[in-house]
Amino acid sequence: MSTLVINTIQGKTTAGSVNVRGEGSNNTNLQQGLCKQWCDWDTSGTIAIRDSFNTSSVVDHASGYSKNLYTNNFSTQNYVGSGSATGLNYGSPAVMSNARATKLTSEVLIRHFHGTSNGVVNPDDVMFTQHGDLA
Amino acid sequence: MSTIVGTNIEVTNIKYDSDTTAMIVSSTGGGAGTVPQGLAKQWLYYNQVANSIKGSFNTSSVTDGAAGRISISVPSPYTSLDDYMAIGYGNAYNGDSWGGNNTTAVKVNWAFTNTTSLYDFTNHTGSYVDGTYAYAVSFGDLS
Repeated sequence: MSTLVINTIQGKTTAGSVNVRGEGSNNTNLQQGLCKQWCDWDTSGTIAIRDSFNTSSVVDHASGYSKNLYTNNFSTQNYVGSGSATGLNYGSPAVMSNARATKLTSEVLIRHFHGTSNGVVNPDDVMFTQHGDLA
Repeated sequence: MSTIVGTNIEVTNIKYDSDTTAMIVSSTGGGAGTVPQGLAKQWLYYNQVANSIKGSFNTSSVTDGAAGRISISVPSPYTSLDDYMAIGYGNAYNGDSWGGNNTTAVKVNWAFTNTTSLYDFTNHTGSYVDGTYAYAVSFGDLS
């Protein structure tokens, strides 16, 4: 076994593309597979980040809505989000982001809502991840 | 065991020397995980109304099975049906509306019989409706 102690990995042929051997015999791509932004935040009171990556801030947009602002932006609006939320009395709360027309490369607006009534709520714990191409 | 210390490295491929074990990466807190296990193996942003892929990785095609239902083909497949998971959401309106009742989810074995190289996504708001965006990400063991 060998250990590399380094700060940066960059593709040799293409700077932004490094192949990674997967679990079997197929390869996958390091840059494409990495989560580019994630955030875990509390919306129940004054909005507060619990932990995050590539997130410069979370903004309380309105009741039931939060914005995640990025430190390093995406190259286009064609990136992919997924998420969930937890908290008592919210009927398995869920999340979704605004659509491409209003989504920015520098931020995303996220709606958190009651899983049964679909009305907006402010759960204790909202979690969101995003994959795609950085600028 | 050998250790190479440096600042930057330029490589084309990263793999464990035995070809049978995943490469390990250290974390900020000192724990370790494997590189391939932590990577998303496939993702897709799809417009069901225009039937167009907006952005994707490891997605060869999307089949429009019926209103609100698509199947996503994964060209570099997973090892088995039990070795991958998919998450995501979308809207169920032809537009950017995101009011109540319009969130949807990735589903498996719903509209289609999923395989190691195919899973499905549905948009439903009382009935199946094509939405303008469907976001799906999957993780697991590649074959």
